Amino acid sequence: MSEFFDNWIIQVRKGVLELCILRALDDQESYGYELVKTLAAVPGLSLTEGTLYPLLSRLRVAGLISARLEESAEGPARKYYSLTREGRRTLVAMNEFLDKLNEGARSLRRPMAV
Amino acid sequence: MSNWTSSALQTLESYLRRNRGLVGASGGADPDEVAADLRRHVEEEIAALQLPVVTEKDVRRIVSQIGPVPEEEVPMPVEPERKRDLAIASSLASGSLLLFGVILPVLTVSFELFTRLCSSLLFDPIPSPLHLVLAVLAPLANFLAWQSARSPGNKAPRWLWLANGAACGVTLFYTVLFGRLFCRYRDRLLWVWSSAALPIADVFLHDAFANVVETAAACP
Repeated sequence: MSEFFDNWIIQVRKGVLELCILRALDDQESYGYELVKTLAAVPGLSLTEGTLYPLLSRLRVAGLISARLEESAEGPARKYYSLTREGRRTLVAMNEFLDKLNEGARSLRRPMAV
Repeated sequence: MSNWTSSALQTLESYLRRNRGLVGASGGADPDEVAADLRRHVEEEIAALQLPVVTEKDVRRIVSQIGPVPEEEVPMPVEPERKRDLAIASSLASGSLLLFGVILPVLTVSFELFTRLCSSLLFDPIPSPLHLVLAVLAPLANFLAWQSARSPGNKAPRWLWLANGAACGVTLFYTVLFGRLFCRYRDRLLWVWSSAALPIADVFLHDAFANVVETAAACP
């Protein structure tokens, strides 16, 4: 595929990564390791741990998610993440915006376009 | 509980240090928190693998899955001697540019303007106001370059490069003028001068100085 398309994919991924994290944490707590495995399974997202942890930290600093440590019998202590009230509000707004954007973009799509 | 070899521990610490630098530079996230999260993640991977002994190879494999940090982004600790050397080099470069590029040309032009020594003995090097403007351009451009290079990370703007290029032309012109008078082997010297990069030496000096200042400023 062309370099332009590759760059475009990178930009799109960047744009939706935070949304995917917030969606994964919607209504359920999850710890880092588990979250990585969940998001890594999303096709096209190509998420690595090296990308996820700085994003989680950024979201926590922004007050959209909170974290708590819990001892685990299976290994090291686990850090559980969950959405804050502000995070939930932001997620709703992000979802609405993306739906609207998708709808708009879809309306521009000609039947011939693949 | 796994036993870590010392090289495995070293590899992990080195990775976390590099990552901390990278996260710190990108902003927004807490580098210490990210480092702690990554450490926990590596430990979790190792616990899942149930390794009795963790080797450097194991750590490298896990780290490459996490997303390796390029080696060149390692913020190398600067030794005090190196830091001192850099500070000396920075002062020398700064002083040289100021002395030979600004003070000396200003003194020379002022001396000629007040005494007219060269005009009376040899020829008039500043016969018109335009010549004066051109003569002053060299120290002025060098002074602006010196100021620009003093701010770490500051890239010289395009106009400054052009001004320095014009100043190089002026200084080369005067060098040729005086060289023809004073140098016995002027032809050979001029050939060497024009074929080498001397005419744009002050541009290189500016760049080198800027690099030294930047490196010195980056020292913790």
